[in-house]
Amino acid sequence: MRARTLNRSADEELMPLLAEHDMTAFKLIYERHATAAYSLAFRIVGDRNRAEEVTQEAFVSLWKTGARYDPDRSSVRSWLLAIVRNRSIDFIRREAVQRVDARRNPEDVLADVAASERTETAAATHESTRELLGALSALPEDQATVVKLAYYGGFSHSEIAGMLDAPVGTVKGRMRLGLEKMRAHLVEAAG
Amino acid sequence: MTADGHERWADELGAYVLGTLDDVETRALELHVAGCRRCQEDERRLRAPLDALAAGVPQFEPSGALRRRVMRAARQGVPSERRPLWDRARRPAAVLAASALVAGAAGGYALRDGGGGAGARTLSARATPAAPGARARMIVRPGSAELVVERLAAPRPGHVYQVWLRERRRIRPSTLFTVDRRGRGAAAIPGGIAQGVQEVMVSEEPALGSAAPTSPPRLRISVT
Repeated sequence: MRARTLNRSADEELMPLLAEHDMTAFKLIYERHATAAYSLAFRIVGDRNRAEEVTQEAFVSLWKTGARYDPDRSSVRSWLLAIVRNRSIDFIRREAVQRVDARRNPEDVLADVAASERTETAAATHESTRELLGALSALPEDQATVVKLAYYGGFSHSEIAGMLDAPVGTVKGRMRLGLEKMRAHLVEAAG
Repeated sequence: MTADGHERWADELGAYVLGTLDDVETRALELHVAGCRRCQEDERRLRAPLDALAAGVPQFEPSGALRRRVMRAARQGVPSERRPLWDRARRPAAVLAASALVAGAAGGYALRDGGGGAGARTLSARATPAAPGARARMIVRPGSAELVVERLAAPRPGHVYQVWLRERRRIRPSTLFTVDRRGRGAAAIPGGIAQGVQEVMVSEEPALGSAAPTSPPRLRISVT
């Protein structure tokens, strides 16, 4: 009965309940966002088991720190996905430190990006995926590459500059321009 | 608007929202953004596509087993038995730092080997009169090093601390960091302390760092 009532509540209304360790509210948050969280983790870490570990850590973090959520700054979904993204990047960075990671070879990294693009194109059945692909495909290749390497690859601006043999300032400029163009494309698509 | 005002931060914002700045660059930018309405608006604008980047990936259903583990972990209030490998193996830096013994010497930083875990040396120091009350420790591992400072006065607005590595007469710039209100801060030194480095120094520099020191060292740590 209570679950049915809470099920009609917005995420933002459920978050204060997490601070009170309300498992029903937590389960609802999980059901609503687990697929998005797991999928993003999978996209970044590239492995089912690792993606599950990252997703688990992100939800436990949400459970523990939900009291700090600020609805004025972002939606719950955005907040959670930011946690997932950050933990995924932490994961691959730590793995890279622990072993010589072939993904850190610039040519392999760039090949991974191209392979991911093919996967995403094949899997573009979700509306937001199509919008994103449209937004990314609208970018000049150099801007799309730095955005993907940064967001999905977790590389620092200096690492990307090294991979692309471009000045750091150029890389930062491409990031900004890429994000601005993506935003314009998404606004246009929504409008 | 001058180069010292807004423009110098414009491209930093794109790198910032994509999470590519290091901790010190991030703090420096956040200091600026906190007082710059134009940058605040730019940041909101640049963050807008991030939701699409996050949600725009191919969607896959997680397993039921994951759901059960997450719920069990939440009930227990701990990260669960399936903690990531890195958590199982890693000792928190704070623990490593706390294990260091602080030893001082008049007029400089007396370093000595301490704890710090397998393969690590903890070099500790006490401040000279140039940085009253400050303390610094450096945890050196093969290929990495971390400088931990305490009770170090906050840099002036628009400034950060920068680490320098001295090899004889050559001084190389290293990482940037700042401190919290209690004067605590930490800086990972990329590449660690290479052979030949004789001294680690810290000076106050403009927020984006300098190619060469522009102010006297606040901390000097002899490595040899």
